[in-house]
Amino acid sequence: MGSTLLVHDDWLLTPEGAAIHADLATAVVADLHLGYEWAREAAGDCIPAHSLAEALARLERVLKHAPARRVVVAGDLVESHRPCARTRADALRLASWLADRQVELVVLAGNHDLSLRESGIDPRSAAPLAEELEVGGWTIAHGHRPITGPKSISGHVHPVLCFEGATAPCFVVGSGMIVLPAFTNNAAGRDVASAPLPHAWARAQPRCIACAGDQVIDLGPIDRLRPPRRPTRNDRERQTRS
Amino acid sequence: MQTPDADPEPSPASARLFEPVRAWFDATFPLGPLPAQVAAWPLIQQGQNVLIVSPTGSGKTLAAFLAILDRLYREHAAGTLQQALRAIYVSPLRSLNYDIERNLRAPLEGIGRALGSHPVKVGVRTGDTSAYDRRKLRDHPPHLLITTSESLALLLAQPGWKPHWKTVQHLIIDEVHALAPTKRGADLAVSLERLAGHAASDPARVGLSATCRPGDAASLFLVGSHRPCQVVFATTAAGEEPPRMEVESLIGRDLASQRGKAQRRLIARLRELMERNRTTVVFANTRAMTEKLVLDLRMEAISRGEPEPLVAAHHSALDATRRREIESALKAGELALVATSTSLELGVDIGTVDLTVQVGLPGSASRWLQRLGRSGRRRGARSRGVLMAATAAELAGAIVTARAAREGRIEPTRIVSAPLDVVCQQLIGMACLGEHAVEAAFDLFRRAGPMATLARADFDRCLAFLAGDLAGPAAAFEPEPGAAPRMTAPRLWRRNGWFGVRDRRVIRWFRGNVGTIHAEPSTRVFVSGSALGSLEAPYADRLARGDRFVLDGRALEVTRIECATIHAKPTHAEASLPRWTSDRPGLSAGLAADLAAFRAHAGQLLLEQGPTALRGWIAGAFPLDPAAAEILVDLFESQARYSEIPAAGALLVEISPTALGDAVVHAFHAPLHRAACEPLARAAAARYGRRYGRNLALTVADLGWAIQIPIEAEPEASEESIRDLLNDENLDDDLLEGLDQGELLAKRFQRVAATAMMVLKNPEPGRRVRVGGQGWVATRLYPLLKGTCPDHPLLQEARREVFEDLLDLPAARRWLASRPAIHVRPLDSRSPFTAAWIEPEPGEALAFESPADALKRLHLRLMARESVAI
Repeated sequence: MGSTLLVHDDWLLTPEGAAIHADLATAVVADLHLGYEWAREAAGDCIPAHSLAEALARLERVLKHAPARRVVVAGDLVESHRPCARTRADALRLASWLADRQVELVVLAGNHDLSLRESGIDPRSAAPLAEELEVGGWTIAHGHRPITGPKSISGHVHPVLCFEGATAPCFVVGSGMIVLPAFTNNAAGRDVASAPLPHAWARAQPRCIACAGDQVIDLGPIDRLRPPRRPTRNDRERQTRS
Repeated sequence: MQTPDADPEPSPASARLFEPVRAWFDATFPLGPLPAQVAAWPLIQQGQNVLIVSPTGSGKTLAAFLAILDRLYREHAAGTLQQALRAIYVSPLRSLNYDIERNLRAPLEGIGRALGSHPVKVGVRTGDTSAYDRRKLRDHPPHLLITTSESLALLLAQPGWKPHWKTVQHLIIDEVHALAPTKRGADLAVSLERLAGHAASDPARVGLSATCRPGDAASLFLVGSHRPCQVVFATTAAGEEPPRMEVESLIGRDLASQRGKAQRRLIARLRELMERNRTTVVFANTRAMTEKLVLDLRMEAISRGEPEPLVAAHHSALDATRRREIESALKAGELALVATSTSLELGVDIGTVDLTVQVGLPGSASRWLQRLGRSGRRRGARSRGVLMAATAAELAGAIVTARAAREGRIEPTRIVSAPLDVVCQQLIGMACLGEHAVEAAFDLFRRAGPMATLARADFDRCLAFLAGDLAGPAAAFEPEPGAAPRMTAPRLWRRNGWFGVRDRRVIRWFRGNVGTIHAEPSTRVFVSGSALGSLEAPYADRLARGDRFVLDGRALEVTRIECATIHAKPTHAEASLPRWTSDRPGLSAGLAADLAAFRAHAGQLLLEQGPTALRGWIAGAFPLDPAAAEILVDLFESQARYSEIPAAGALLVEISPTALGDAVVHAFHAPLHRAACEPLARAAAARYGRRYGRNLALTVADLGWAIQIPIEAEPEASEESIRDLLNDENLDDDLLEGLDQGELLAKRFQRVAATAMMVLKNPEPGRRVRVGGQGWVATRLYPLLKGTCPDHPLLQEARREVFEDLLDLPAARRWLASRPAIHVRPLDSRSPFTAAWIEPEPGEALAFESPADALKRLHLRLMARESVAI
């Protein structure tokens, strides 16, 4: 396969949106939002089931980049706060699919995983989800709460880069920081070139690393991608007010 | 078919009416019945299907209703009148419903007084009707039910109403010209067939329509293909004068600072007109322009120290109660001027208006005439309208529009052909009432005029989709076969030739999502506790406390923002205009052809005989102020000097660099309306995209389009290469490719999915899925469905809608087949014609590169900028 990968610190960044620690054989992904279609079903939508199949196809590609013995999901494994039986079944199928390949699944708590946080993904062996996990000196967590530890890998924000009408998921990396793109295509992203950015990113001097097809492209500091937006009248007045 | 222009009958037609009805009519209308009434009453009394085509103010309402009331009073006198539903009136507007109820009150009360009792009952059922009144209507149905097409669809899905349909004998459909070309109309047509299926005998249909042509599709819409229909054309009253139409220019010959100047001139002109007329209605085409006009009129008065003028804005983003207030103030003659986008175009009787002003082009002669009909609705008054043009291109369009309107050249009505999203919604509605046989349902659909072309295979695929068993290609997204159902929440079950609703939730979803009207997500605005209107979500999301915006023609300041609600207070400081998206209809095919011919003729005169001859021709052929005519002469002269004026039927391609010099623009001037330019433009863009492998920008307008190509692609153009570019071979495929690069198809699919109830506009309470955002259906579901279910009926419907309803591919093909002459002109910058007709619109980005290639190019550009900076 002619994929381009990129190394940031100890981590290999893949075009699927995973970070892989090759020495520790650990792959980290975030924001799978499994059962997205079943959440939409509960809202009344009639759409094709797709999220598990897409997640598995994508994980398969991730595991080809580097042998991993462990996949860490940094939060938001499922979409719904109240996952239905089908969503739980999808999560268990993902776990057994990984088990068939001798890969351990570690799920950390995200803001969508409310019920999993109490019961774990398998109701029979109900171990509640952990909030954080340390891998090679890096703290992995979902990122909806402040993360302790000097170096962190998180998800939650769903960063993307919008340009010329197209949208590409992207990593945001800086000193001691990796923010993963959403692993699912269903998430609408936060555009790093135009949307307000989390305050925590500022001191990390973040760079944007975009995923496109089978390539990862380093586009340099995010500041460079943010064109000075022409302020509206309301923006200007807001500035003078404050 | 008959056309009683005047009424030569010596004995009044009212003589045929039942005595108390006749007595009331003669006392109220001493001048006797109008032509429309004379012609329609006997036909309706005989129970025939009738389409009454006449201008507004010609007594259409009584033409339709009085004959039906007459029959009810006769039955009452004979002692045979039962308490049962006898006639249903459907209009596209709630406000029109209340208007009709009010207008019926006079005859009902008058006749009732004479009889000493009030036997005939009338009821209104709309979305505003309270739960108590709904129950009352259902338990004790009136003789005459006034409703909207959405409410009728809801009633048809309720078992409690089913027995009432049995006694219905008349269906009155108002504003047929507005309903016929829409999906809403197609939906209503199926509802009417379902209702007719429940009735003891096929109810007679009475259609009311303003402007349409003889032998038109409007009657097919009304009655379907297997029933006869009498069409009655009637003018207002004998000796009525035609409407007076004038064209005015808001700009002078100094074209430089036109926009701001034109706006100031517009406000000054409106002030003059307000002083000279009792009530003026201004059609401003867009909601933002409507707001701006009213605000500017108010601010100008304040700056002069005058009292606030009696002006108001009326458009669909204002709250319904606010609109009702404005309508009744307008009727009572309390307002000097009302500006509206399109919302006052239909129906509601607005009484005392004596002038309509159109700002910018109305798009078609029919629409201009319809809007003109809003003035002089009083019997015997002459309607008067002014068309105001703010640019030279608008001025040319305006004089051509006014000529077509004066000559009464009305565009043909086109009805929507078998929309599959409507089929899906109607199938769910049918199933809400119980089990149905598939065969019978298909026959029922086909009886409706707009569904006459519905193919059995498409119908079956709609059923399959709703039943959740539409087959995808083998192995599409199915790692474990049979592990999970392919579709979530199927709506129907389907077995052995029967279908029915899958569970109770589907009935609830149907009730909460009925209708074909598409509304952008919006945020409501409250001022001092009461609802004023709404802003579209993308605009509202950027507002913060203290920000100012314009709504209801006033500057407002945000005081508080709660989830999906903005609280605001009036302010006198400057404020920004909200943005609203709207479908901007272009010129009709006929007007675009007229305009192209006008340009070509002007060009020829200029070339052969010089500017004096052109001036003379314009002055002779069009009633226009000589100073305004000079503006047109200037535009044509500068185009002829700088480039050339496209000859009749020909294609002129102008090639010029952009102002920044980073791209080349190919501007195509073709004698076609936008709907026909668009397929050629998209196909051409797809072919350029393939040739150069670069992202492009596309602008489509009336009379042409422009494609912007990056300079590095080194685009070339010659007469040969352009002829090759517009080759008719594989045009459909390339058009589809061109469409898929833009967002048109995906955006249309979003609406189609909502109408078919695939993705609900109003989801189950508390269950709305927020991850994915507003655009999820267009950006994610659309490509997902193309991959998993390429022959999904809703994908087909989105394509049909774009190809047939939005675009005019046949007209584009006919023009290509005429083998138009091609001229290619390299220029140093864009020509006056490109600036005037094509390029005032912003372009749409079309992606032909892979995302990786585009990202890499972005990367290179960033690096280059970096090295320059160092």
